[in-house]
Amino acid sequence: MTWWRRGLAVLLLLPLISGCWSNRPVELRAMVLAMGFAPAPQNRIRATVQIPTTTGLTSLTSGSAPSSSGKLDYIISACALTPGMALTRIQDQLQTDLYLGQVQLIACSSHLSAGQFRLLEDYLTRLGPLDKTAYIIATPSVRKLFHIEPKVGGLPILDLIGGFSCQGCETIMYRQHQWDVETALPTAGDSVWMPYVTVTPTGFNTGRILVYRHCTPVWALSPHDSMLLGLILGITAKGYVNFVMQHDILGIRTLTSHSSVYPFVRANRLYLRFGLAVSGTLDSWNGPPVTVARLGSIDSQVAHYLAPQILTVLKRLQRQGVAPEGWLAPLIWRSYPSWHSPSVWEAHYRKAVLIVHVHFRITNVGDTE
Amino acid sequence: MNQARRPRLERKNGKAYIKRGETAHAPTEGGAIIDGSQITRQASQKPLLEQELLHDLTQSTQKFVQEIEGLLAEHALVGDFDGYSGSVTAAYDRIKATLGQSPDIVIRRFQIGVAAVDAMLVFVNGQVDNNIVDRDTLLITTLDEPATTSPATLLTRLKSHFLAVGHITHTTSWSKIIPTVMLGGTALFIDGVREVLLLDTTKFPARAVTRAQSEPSIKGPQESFNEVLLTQMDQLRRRLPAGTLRFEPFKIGQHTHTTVICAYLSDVTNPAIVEAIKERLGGIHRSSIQTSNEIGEYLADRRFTIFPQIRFSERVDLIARNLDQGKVAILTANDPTAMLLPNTLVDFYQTTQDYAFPFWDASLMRLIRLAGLIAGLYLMPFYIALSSVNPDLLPVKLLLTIDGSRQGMPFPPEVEVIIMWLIIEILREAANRLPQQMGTTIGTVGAVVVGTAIVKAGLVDALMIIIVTLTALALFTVPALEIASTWRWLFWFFIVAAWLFGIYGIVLLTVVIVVHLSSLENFGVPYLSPFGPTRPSDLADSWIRLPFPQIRMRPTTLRTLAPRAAKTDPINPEVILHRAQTRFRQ
Repeated sequence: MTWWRRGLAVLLLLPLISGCWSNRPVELRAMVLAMGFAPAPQNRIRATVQIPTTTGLTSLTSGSAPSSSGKLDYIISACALTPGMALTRIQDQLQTDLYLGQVQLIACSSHLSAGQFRLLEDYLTRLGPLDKTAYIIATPSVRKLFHIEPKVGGLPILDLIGGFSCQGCETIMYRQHQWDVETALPTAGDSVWMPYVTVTPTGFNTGRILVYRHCTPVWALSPHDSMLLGLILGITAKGYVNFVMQHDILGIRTLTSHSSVYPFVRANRLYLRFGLAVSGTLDSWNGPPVTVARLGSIDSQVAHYLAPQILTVLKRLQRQGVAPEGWLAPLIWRSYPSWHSPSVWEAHYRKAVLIVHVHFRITNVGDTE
Repeated sequence: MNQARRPRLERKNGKAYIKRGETAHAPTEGGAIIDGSQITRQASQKPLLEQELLHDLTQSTQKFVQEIEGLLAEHALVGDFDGYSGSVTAAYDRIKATLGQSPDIVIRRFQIGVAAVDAMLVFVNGQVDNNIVDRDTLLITTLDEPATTSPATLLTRLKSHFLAVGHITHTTSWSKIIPTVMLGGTALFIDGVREVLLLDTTKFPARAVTRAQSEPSIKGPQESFNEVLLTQMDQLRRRLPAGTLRFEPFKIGQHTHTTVICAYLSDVTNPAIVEAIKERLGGIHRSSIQTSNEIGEYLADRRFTIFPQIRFSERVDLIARNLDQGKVAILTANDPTAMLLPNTLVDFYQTTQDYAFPFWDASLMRLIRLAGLIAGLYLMPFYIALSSVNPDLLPVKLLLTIDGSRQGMPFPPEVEVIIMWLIIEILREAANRLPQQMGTTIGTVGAVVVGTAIVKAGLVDALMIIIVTLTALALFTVPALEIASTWRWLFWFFIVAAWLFGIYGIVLLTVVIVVHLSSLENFGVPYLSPFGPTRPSDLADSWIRLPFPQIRMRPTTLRTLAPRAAKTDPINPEVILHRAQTRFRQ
């Protein structure tokens, strides 16, 4: 066969293997911005998708406010035994191709059973077109989240997504991508955490963390505890504490931390030593004038204030059998192969001695950042 | 004779054709019949031929017989068909039979001196300087030679004392006489002398030296070549007055006798390249050469590659600069475009304007051209790929923008590209064909009116207009026309690849192109040089240009005889200042 015949054959074969017939222009795709999964009667799952309308796209493109009659998006729901089947039923309600390649947010109901959550994660893991960088959140009501009243200037859900996308904008950088959850699930205890978003009359309430164990929500941390957990995980960007120190009110903000965990075993007992280097800005102080010596005293007081609170959070996590870091168990297993079993690990973890060292330092005094 | 090979006559559209079996099918008109005797015999054997055809045949045969008689007369005197017999009458018959049919052929017969020796001047009216011809004719006719002077002595006297033209040669060969006359020379025949004087009386109608139209420049030299080869050489000589500048002529074209000049600097250019080019030039056998490109396509190493291997230019300064770099220039008579070779890809992105501006400006211009190439080649394919095949790779807000602008569009992006590009190509071609002022108008009308109308009509989305405009503008940044069409072709390959395979297709095609470019060589010079293979010293004048004192070497890929183009130690301004101050104090 001459070279040009080979070339011709390749040219003819290439389109056949390209799969180009399934390509569709964007305008023929129903672009899902967000999807949610919630439990439904008879152990079924309700899938909900949010798709911007033509009006919505145009207003988003031009930046103009949509007309009063124009809907920015449409919400479609369907129930089925599996998430895949539910999405297929949603596709049945559409005239365009349901396109999941640009899903920005996956909302999981905190009422999903462990089985349903595992089924959902298994499905999302294997869903080829899904963008695995989509943010995943937990919420008590998917329906409320998707039906929040649109504000002037765009879809509310885009504001939520924008908040996650902005590095350092939130108090805690607690965003979780789909692939974070995918990779965290197979570790011991299936302990994962996700941002816990609730809907308020004015919008979204963020700043809380929901902790899962064995795919079941076990603890929705308060905003303060979430901040402390953020310090342990090193993801708090704008933490805030205030307390009374020697009859004077002290406020520290812009709390950030670098944390480390040093696990070791003594007498067949697991010890976990957490070291946190926390820094922050002196925000309010109505005591005597700040001097270098007094700053050192404040540093020490703040460290003493934070350490027991962090230990409390850690102990509560320990009681739930949830490790703050997914990699903790594999780290121990490397030195103690005999603990290489989820049940053995959990038993040791529950009895572990937790030690917390906090080193605090004020880095700024009085700036207005 | 084999029946299948026997010639037969046919008529078609009022013209006579000779059909020789199944192999030859030559149209014949007037004196173009070659096998006249056979045709006559054939005609006499076929009484049924039409009267008109017989008339044509008779005329043709008469001319043919006249030619044969002229040839036979010459042959009887000389012994071969190519030699001039020394008989002006025989020469007159022969010229009359062959050239004399054309009205521009002037045959002037006269007598010289007291002895009244027959002489004849033959030239082509319009191609000779009439002043020279008239003056010389007058001088010759007033020659007062005694009757005893032999014709040979007469010829010598004429050559040395009377003829005032610059170049005079003599020959006895008709194969040299006829082409010389055709190219503007004048042939002087003297009865009794077998040598014919060929006088260089050429004066072609020539265009003035003008500004370079196809390669404009804001700053620096503006001079361009014209169609006259001698002027081209003069222009180059003026810019490169080196004694080592060689012009080696070649005659190409059986009918056109086109003079092609191979120009190079003998102390710089790699002799292997020169020899290879000369060998290829010598191997060209065509009946007609009208443009330099017809020669250029013979000189390319790879004829079917889409990438140009020869750079064409009408700029004298560009050719002179590249000759000094060690390249070879090919000048073609009657074509103002000279060819340069061998070339690399980067060569097609360099202009002489780059050397007329400070190096920062020059480097910026070259980088902008590179950016233009990338944008022109990739912007549209990426749009197709990202909007049709891989939208998941786009940021959501950009995708929403694209999606919003495409709502309600009747055609997919691929069809929109075809529509828009077709419009652009039509506008481009229309602008080329119209006078310059109208061309600008067409461009404005096309860009503003058609573009706006198309968007308003809802045929193409606004984003597509922006991308197409940017693409077209980006591809216009290419300084060399010959590579512009390469990118226009590749643009479509990229569109198809993006449409079929998305981003993967674009990457795959890019790899294929880079591999192909890596494999290309032009007279042993790698096409991707100085990047593949890397030639660090050549990088000084590639996509960027360093200051001239830093560019000391000629391109190493050309393997020149003199690699160094400048001294290694640049002038140190501080030293000069110090010396000046010292002299001032003294």
